[in-house]
Amino acid sequence: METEDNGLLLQVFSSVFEEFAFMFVEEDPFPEPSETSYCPCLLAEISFKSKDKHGFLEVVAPVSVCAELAENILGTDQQELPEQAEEQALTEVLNVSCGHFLAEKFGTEEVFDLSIPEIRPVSQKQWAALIEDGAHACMRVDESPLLVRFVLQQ
Amino acid sequence: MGYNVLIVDNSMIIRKMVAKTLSISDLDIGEYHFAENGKVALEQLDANWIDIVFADINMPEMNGIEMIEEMNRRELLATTPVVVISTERSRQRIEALKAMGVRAYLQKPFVPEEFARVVKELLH
Repeated sequence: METEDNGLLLQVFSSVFEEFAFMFVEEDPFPEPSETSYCPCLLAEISFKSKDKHGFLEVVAPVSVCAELAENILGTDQQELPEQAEEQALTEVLNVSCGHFLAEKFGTEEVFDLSIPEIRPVSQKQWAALIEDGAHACMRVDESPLLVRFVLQQ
Repeated sequence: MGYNVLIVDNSMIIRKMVAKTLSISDLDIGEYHFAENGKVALEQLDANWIDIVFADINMPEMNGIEMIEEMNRRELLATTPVVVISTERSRQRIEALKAMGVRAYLQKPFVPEEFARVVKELLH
């Protein structure tokens, strides 16, 4: 991932979190593995393709952040959230962010097809590996980490 | 009698969000119908009188473009107004949607006031 992409990812995710759910995303220096404790997380991924480009965008967020996203989007309490609201909130934020990011990075002349986002839980071992490899842009939403990775495969 | 609406999106969050936005607007909404893809939406359109359709593009099984193409092929559905609510930013694709008869296009995440304004213009 190019360094300049990190700034654009921060800009896009900040804007989408704020507009969708009135939540605020800030840049965060990548944590040392020893500084990061595991909390239950979800990883959502969406792929894209155009005539001559393809790749994917992924986001990793604590379940607690996903729940807050869902609560704010729906304007409801956690006890009243429908089943899978956390997963759907994160995939929708990723879907919207991907559309915005591609338009900002490549302009609006290029036509991209997006996949249906996929989502899965992240185990403690996987979380440690994500922190260890340092391939993601690290952000912070409220006091929780948010990892984002954009991969372009030309 | 209020307007019957059909909200088509594979995301339950967005279906609920659109319904909530309509419910807090001063629009006179009758029945709410929901579908998670274009195929289910066509079944809903066959079974119910719908005054306006709100649809996403990127959906499994039958996407929004395929659904609109099918609506255009059916005489009874061809004039039903469709508002697309999507993440799509491509100028070419947005123009193609308008050429297919899509009455309005809103980008996600939409602002409730803008959403209500667009819908009022279409229904009044």
